[in-house]
Amino acid sequence: MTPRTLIANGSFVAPACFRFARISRAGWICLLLLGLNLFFSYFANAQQVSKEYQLKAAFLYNFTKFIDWPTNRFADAEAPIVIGVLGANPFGGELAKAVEGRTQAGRTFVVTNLSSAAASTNVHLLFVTPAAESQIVDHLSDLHQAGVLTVGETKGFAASGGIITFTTEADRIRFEINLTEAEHGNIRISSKLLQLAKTVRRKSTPAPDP
Amino acid sequence: MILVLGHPTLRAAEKMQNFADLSLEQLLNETVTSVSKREQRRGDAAAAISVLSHDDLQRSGATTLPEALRWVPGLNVSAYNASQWAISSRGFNGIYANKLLVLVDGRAVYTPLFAGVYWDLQQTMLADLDRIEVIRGPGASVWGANAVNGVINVVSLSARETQGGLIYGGGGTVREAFGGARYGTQISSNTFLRVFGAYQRTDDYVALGGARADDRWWSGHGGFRLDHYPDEDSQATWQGDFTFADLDNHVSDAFNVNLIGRWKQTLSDRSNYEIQTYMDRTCRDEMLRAHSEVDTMDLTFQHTFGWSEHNDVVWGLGYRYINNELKATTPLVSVLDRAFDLHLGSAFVQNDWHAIPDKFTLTVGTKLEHNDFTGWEVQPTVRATFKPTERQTLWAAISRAVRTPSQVEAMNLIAFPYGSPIVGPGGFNYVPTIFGNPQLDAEKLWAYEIGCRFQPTSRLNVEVNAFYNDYDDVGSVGAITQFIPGAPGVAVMPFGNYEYGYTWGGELAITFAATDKWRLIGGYSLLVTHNYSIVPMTDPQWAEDGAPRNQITLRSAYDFSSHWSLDIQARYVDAIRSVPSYITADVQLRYRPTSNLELSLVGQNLFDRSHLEYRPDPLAVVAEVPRGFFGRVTWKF
Repeated sequence: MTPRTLIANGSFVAPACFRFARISRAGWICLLLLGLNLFFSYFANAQQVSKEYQLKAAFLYNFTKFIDWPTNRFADAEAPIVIGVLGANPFGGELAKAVEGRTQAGRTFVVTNLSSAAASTNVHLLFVTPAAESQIVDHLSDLHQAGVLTVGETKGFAASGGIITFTTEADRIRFEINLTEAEHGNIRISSKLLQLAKTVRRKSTPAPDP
Repeated sequence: MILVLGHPTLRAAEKMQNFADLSLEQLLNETVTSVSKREQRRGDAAAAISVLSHDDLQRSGATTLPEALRWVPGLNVSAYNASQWAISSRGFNGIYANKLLVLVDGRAVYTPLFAGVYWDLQQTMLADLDRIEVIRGPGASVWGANAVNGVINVVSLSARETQGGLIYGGGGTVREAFGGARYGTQISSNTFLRVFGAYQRTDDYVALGGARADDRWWSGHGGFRLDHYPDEDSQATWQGDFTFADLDNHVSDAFNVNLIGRWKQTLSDRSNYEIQTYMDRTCRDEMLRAHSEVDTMDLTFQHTFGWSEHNDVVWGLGYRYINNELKATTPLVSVLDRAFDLHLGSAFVQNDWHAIPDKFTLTVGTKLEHNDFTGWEVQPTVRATFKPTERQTLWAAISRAVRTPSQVEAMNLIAFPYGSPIVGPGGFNYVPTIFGNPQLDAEKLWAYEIGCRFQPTSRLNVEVNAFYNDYDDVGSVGAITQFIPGAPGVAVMPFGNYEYGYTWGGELAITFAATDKWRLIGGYSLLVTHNYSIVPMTDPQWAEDGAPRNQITLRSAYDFSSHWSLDIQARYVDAIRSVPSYITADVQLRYRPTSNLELSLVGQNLFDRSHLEYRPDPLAVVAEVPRGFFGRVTWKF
């Protein structure tokens, strides 16, 4: 009989490993320093936005140069282009700053934060944060029909039929375009933007991974 | 020092620019983090590297890390019993595969006490892993001692990449029940947090006679990760988790808790540094061995910079403090020394000379390490990469690596019986008993490697590596140095650097994207081991027979549509001592009715009712791996 079965049959052995960590003093000092570092950097730079989202804000502004919305999406020739952000705004003030004082075909910009899919039909360009995706996926084709250009940043978003999806490749931002979905809403995307896209899909089914 | 380094505000302000002024083409050229500069180069690395991506992990159907590692070509992954694994590359596998270094988010999980990895405590949540990088061959010039035959690097996704909720659960015949949840939330515009918890319960494997092996176990795991981006060039990470494992049907248990802090700072296009500290407490209460409590405190610093147009240097410093406590749990194993501590200091420097930019790179580097047992250890490497075209990479490397003795091997900590009593002087019975040996030296390896990666067409990717490894001073037991009379007597068998030998072989991996929806991956590995001993009574064949000579894996990844996919992996593993060769397969069928919901059915080890994967060992009870089925539901919100 092996020792294993001897002990198993003999008595129940309570977990002896459930006592909490006894951490050495050097360790505590080390952790404390790192914690302080985090704490200070957090408050010193609380308003800083990561470079990724500064770049993505610039992308959103640039997209509008290559997109024609149906004229009925604007009240008149002066009406602004409305950019909506659904979910907690990852851009901070960067998106507003990117479009501030700029115009596109004589239209100024308005940036608005949205909390629900229902409010999203009024915007021209809708950026969907990953956290807010789940509440919008079922409404995507309705939004597209209504002439809303949707922009997201996850594979799931692309798979659900979002029009433009940001990806990252070799540490650089790329984007893919679902042309069929754009056409459903009569949103015209210029060929230049299509050329710069990593992939252009003409059906709503996603391409598998390479 | 840390506080000063942590304040990049001024410098960042100088660099502020309005990206909206840039054209789309210029934007496409901007790097997001710059911290991954070195990671980017890994595709051109002069080493045999395989990466399991997030997608590969999802496709594998695996519920644990070792199961996922079965999908890495050239790695030998053998289930020992329900909770223990023998995992290594390029030979010398075993229950304590002591020549493979494993890191989880930068934390070394290789145990310095016994040498090897306790896989039962490595319960990462696979859904939140970014990738698993596997380097076959030495990585000691950067990673340090014990990265002799390979390095496994498990990297989790940042909290920013795991926003929202994820709940999964399932169960079946061998993986009886499992489930977990993660929730990721954005605390401020540049701070992200996720918390997670998971549970799994595994049924008994099959004992050699066909009965239950009585090795069922369960584990619980939970933790958090906080990622904060103070500015475009900085990332602070703060993460911790705990794991509890109840092993061998309540007989043994193990516990780990750890806390990691990391700061990554980009200074310029070619310059960055990283500072990391972690604390780790691992406790094991093993009825067959002993009760151990190991506390580790680790601090590392790493700095990369370009010092001329064609030269990049990365250098680093490290310090590790380990505190141990041991207690006896069985009269069979005596604990001789109860509490002790150790210090490990290290430094490394590596220079990349881009002699012909994008075409030819020569890398020269070394690690210098000091440990309490064998003193200073030098582990240099020279590597060359040649890229004749974008689609071809040729590389070659010569490296030296050492395996430093574990504490059990090099200290008079414990004495444990090994094998049945023998008749010794005076005709009495003596129990062969293993003792530590303070005179033990480090094991040395000189490794010679070549490899090549090429892409004949955009749908075909081929990778071939070959190696010759020359080992010296390999540790083993067997020689009796002293007979201590008693009833029964003790035959003293200390660890010794008794063996030497060489291995050669290679790995081949072919990826073929037959269509956009179908990918085939084939892997083959060859390993020939010759091991010798300088004393009689040891068993050099033991190491020779510890890993299969031939292994073949075939994998198919097929997407019927965006909703359905089928993944199959079949593997052939050659016979090793007392274990016949086997062929088996894992299959996963996945259905995604919506982007939030996934249902999957998994079959594992399908081709027989049960099979043995590893040989019996005097240190552990081996069991056969049974066929298993389970279903799983994953819901994201």
